[in-house]
Amino acid sequence: MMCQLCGKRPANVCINIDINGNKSQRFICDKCADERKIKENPSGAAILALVNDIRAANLSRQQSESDKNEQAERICKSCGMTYKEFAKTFMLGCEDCYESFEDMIKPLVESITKPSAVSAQSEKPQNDAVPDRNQILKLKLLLKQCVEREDYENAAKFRDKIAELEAGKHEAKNDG
Amino acid sequence: MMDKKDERMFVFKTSVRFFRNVKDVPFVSRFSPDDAEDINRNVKSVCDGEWGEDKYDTLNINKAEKCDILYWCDENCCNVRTGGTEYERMAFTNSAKGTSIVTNESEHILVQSIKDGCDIDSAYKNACETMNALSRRIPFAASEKYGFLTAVPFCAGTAMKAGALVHLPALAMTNGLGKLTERLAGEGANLKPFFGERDVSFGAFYQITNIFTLGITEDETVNYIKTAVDMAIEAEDECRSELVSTKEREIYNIVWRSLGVLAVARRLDLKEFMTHVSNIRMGAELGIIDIDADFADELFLYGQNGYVDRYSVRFSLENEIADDVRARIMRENVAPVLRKMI
Repeated sequence: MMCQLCGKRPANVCINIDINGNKSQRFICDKCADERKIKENPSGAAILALVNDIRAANLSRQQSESDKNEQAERICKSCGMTYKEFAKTFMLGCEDCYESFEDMIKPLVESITKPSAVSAQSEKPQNDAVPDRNQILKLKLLLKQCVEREDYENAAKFRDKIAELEAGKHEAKNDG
Repeated sequence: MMDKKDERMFVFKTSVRFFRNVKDVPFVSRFSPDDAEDINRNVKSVCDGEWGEDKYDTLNINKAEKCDILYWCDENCCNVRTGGTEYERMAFTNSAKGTSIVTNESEHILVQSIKDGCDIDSAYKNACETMNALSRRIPFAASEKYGFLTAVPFCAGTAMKAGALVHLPALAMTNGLGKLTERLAGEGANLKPFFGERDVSFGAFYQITNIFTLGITEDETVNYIKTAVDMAIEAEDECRSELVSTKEREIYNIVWRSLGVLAVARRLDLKEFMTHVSNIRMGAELGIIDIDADFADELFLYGQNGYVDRYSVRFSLENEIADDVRARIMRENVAPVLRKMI
């Protein structure tokens, strides 16, 4: 069984929960348990927070699953091209496909867009911005790899992270 | 700055490609054979008007012999599918200008201009001339957000790929390509093997192309590639000087050995052939053997599958396997040259 919280690692910690006589169990991995210090401090508040977080994690997983299904079934009204077909051949059917599949091809389009923010930064190197820039470049590389293996879920995460870092950098610049 | 002749030692060919689709016609995976015919007719009339009716060659990719298609691909450094399709695909080639137009491959129209050596400006100029003539007659699919729209979304925007075919044997020998690839990526250029499977290259021929097609202008793309090519040449030149000063005997051995193999071998597959022809070109470039770089380039073309197949058909050698025919062609060309040298 996988960790009910992160869903990535095998679960190896069992937490027995008793809320007003309603007994249940939750299973999480060592790493998640350590992060929450649940073994050292199994207080009521900590357990309650854990139960709520597991519920939220489940919901978001279901959501992403249904998003995926919805994506796979999307059809371009002009030419009848389906997303499934596109994912197989990487070829769009008509001009309107760009709009029909806009959110799906976004990571692809970003990978061929000249990153003006990064190059502007490199022209004026700032010592405090250097680690940030390296991180952004690394994330962009990861993003590209994800897109290449069609792992759009993770690609979206990297994309958001890059946007966050870039926004942060601009703020820092403005403050300075 | 190096002069053109020196650059020729590193850069084999440069090319500029434009991909375009016709407005309001579904892309290639969804259009009808009639749409394909319309596109061919329009492109042909542009060629007639722009180049002159008898100044270009036409190749019907669906009906032509496989060896002719492969030969055309080798000559033009271009890949087209050899299998038949239900819609008509054509290639119009103006050899004098080094420009060709391929219709209904992955996009409706591909315009390609190719030049020997490092001459990206002329390639760009020639490709633009043809593009302008086409755009006067054919409306292209474009949007404000994504620029020119392509069926393969990897080149939407300028829908332009500029590139150079470079020979980097010293970097390949000293594992210096990884570092160069990283540096080129910083310049917005991609370095990948020209012949090969996955990341393994047959011979040290590599292709440099632009990564970005959005948020960038055509002129910027050309400049990016120029910078990238200069960087590659500089790195390779440095590496060659070092290699010659530290491993002169090894390099001489490699070059002469390859010349010997091509002159006497009885069977050569493409992979082995590419390795030897790359070594010979390096020998010519470094002045180790007294042959012209042009001769090495001719050999390069003669050993490709298209030329080998054509040769088999011409001399009725269809019963022999292609690798034997390739070795025969090499013996005929290399043995007399080698005899003069030793």
